[in-house]
Amino acid sequence: MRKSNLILCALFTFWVSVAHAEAPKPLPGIRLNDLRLLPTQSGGRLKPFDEFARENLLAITGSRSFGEFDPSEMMVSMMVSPKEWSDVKMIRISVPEVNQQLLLDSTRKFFSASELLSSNAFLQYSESVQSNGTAGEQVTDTGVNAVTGKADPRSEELKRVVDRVARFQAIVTGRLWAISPGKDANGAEKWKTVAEGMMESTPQSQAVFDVLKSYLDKNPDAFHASAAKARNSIEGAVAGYEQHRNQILAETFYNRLRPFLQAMIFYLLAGILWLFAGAHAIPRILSKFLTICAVSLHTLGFALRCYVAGRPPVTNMYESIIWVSLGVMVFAVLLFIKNRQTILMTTATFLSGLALFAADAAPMVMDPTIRPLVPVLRSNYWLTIHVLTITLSYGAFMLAMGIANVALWFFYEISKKGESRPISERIGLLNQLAYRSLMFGTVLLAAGTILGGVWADYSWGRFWGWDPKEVWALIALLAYMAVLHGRYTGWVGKFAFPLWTVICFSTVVMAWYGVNFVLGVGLHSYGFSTGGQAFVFGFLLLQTAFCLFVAFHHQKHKKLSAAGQEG
Amino acid sequence: MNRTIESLLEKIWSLLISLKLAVLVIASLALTLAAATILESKYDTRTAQYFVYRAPWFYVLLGFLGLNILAVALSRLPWKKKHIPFLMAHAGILMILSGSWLTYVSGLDGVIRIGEGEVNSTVELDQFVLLMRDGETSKIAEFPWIPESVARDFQPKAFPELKVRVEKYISDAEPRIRFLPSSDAARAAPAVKIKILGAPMGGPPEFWLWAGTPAWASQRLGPARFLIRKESQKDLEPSAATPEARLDFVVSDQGKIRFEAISIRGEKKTATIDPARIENKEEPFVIDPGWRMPIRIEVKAFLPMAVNQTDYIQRKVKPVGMGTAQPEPALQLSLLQNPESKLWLGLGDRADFTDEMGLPISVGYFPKRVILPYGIRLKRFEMTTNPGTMEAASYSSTVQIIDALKKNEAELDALPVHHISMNEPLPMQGYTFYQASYIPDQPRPTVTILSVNHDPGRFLKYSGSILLILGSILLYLSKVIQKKKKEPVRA
Repeated sequence: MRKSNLILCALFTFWVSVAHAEAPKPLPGIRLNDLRLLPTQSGGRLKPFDEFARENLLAITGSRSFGEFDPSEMMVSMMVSPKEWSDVKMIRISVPEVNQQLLLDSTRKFFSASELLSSNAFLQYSESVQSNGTAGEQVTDTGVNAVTGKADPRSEELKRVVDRVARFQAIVTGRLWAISPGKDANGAEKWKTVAEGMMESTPQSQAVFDVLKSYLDKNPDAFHASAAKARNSIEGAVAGYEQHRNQILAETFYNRLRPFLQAMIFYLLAGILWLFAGAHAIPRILSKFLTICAVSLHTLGFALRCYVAGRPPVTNMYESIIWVSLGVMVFAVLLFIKNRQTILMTTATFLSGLALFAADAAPMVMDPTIRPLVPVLRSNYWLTIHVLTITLSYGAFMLAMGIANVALWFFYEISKKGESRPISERIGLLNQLAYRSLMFGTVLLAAGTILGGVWADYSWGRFWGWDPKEVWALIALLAYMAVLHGRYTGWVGKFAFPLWTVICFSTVVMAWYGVNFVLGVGLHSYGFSTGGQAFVFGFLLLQTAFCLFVAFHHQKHKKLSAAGQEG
Repeated sequence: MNRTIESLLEKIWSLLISLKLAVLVIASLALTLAAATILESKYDTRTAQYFVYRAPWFYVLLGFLGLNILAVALSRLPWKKKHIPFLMAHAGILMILSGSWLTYVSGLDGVIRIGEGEVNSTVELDQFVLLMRDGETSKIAEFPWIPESVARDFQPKAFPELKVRVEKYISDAEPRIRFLPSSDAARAAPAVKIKILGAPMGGPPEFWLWAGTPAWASQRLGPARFLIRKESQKDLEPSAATPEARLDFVVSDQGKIRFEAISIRGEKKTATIDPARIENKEEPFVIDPGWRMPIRIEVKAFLPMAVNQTDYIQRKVKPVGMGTAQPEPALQLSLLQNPESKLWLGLGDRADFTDEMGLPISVGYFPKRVILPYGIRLKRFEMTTNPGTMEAASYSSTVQIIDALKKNEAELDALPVHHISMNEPLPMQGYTFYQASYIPDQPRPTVTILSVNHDPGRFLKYSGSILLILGSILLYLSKVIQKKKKEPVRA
């Protein structure tokens, strides 16, 4: 195995050193159905080649597509023409400080593998990163924050760039694509890669080699035939493939359909139509229809993801956003059935659409990849219930926040146009809806937090351990409790209620996002990540500015009308 | 007089039952907790516990919240049917609070480490003690962890019972190993301190090599290896089998030092190092090993006969990585009768003194321990990985409970087995064992870490939780029903 790597690496260096060649183009008239469905082992689970290709594309380029290439075809093309691909500017560097550190053009975001591999600075850093095993972790002199001890964005990105180049090299030398099912020395399931398979000539490697060769020969017919043969060969070698067949098909379908992206578009369109649904019949019917389409796609996507992963999707930011935005719609529909307020549906569809947009827009921050669970989260009924309950409460609070913002907007209207009966009644209704939503939320949050305690007690023997994640869930609960009790005492009035509902949502943002992305401490470390700060802080800043703006106008109006009454 | 007391009590009572006070208490609790999490993020869990979660005033605040809830509930006397949801929810909170108090006062939460085939019954707690042994007696004294901001003004503290004094204390310490000249022929070995110039290699730029132990004698940085050996150590000479860039410092029996550099391509280079130039600032001794990498090595110090000595300094850079790195305290001890006898101890270390009579006194700095009434034997630790990766998918321990003396392995192996895995704890005579972690090892881990727990507040907490949830659902429903009753009136 070692020998084969050396040979392939040598070949690769040879390819790189050859002069520039033309940029690769997709092969016309090629069908990829069989190629996409080839089973492969990667990231700790069985998945279709299509998903493997998409993950690699995302990891290297940081985006979901590259030129006209289908991800699967691109992987094959990279393997048959590494020379051409190593000159393609496809490796992303998204932190400009890294460009400076590597002495690269700081105006560019994409670099080719040959550019990076011929840079001495890059080679030195990649050496130091690799010699430390876990890249970047101990590279204190390359930029770990000495005060907090946390890795800073530059060293994190440097580590990722090294990983991207290593991934590129692993793909083109056939060391990443696992094709031959088998077991390792310990008896654990470990497939052989293309490179290993060629050295030991497994039947699958011969079939895959034919696929690569026919692609290199630009022969679509031979390609289709060999891909079908390779699919048969690999599927035949996977023990109990019948159990996995439908999951493979479902995952490929899920990737092609992109249900959340489509649901997002439907939500936003529906949101616009709901604006006019109060007055006209056509938008009323159309908006309902679009909302039903959106929720159906959303639910379908959620169900597909559950089926492919074999568990409810609740373990990272991307998955929780999907669930929370679905929760927003569920609560909105429940409230709408009773109150028939179109403004409620406008708010809810826009909220869900924007949430899905945020999840889809930043695949580098919110990893959409389906990954196996860490041991502590595995096969646990309580965990699933606990996380689903807590995040569902976030959905209720999010809806309350949206409604409260609309109520605040009407207060601004009052301050401009003066108080009128319809607007006041509207505010009363909106406050009532926000209140209902808060009730949903607090009951679910209390239940979810306690269920978290039950789960922690069952798994770790500790009902409550003041872990930051659980503490912030408690803070959010306390904050909403203070508002609800304050409303009861009369401290929180008609204007203060929506205002505080909006402000309290920042505690949910903290519990949901902040603990994992900003604080970065505690036992919920399996959910930790970085990125998105600018977006979240931007949202909080905008929200604060809006609150201050409305509060200012409201106060002014109150003073004026009081003066008017006296006069 | 009586009247003033009465009116004062009345005032306190009306304050206690006021909802506004409740809102204030809730809000201040939320703010306190927010501050605590920021403290934890900025420092560590222990600091947050010291200042907030385990601080007496925090318990007073929680107690006050409980008192407030109790008073509000009592103020609604005589209770009517419509009060049931309200009472359930608030009684639930009170039960959870008192259950937590019970856990805090008489619960146990620790860890136990067991290697395969070993028996252990010692549970370690997250509290620290000093333990003294002098011949026949052993004495123990609590020495709790102190955060850095408090430890800065640490005053030496005497423990007359233990015959020692704590001279210095560091809340988060890292060991610093120093090399000192020595004539102790049994332990002393040559040592050299070098500094890497040129490219960063992902390691410390300056470090010691010491021929005393194999671990200290060689250091690998990226593709290069640095090594010190005595001329008599022939087995350490480079061989052709492992092509690597190497820089050897070879010390002769007379205490002369030379370097031997070998590149990956096998090119050799050697020269004697002039001791006069080692400590020379103007003209330091810099080696060009002749490797492909643009690296130079400066020789900073050389000791022909040296021993290592460990002391502790405040950790400056926190270990990188997200999660739960805990500070590691260290302290310096001296014998009360002999203030000069200063020794540093990290957590888990033991210092051996001799008193004026020449008798040994041994003082250890350990986590507090609890001995279980039975032993636990780890028969096997198993870990499975996600297919095709090294990531752990699950781990489990097969254990046996030993409550009587067993003579041989065969008898032990025949005992009934119990399985403990993630999410599958083992309850055993009032204690519960959970699979918490393991010590990573190659080719497979064999030491398991179980967390051990005894929680007398569990029943109260669970029943309180159920009451709270049911109560709040009923409260919600009653609000909806009230609303419905009102609506026709408004119409």
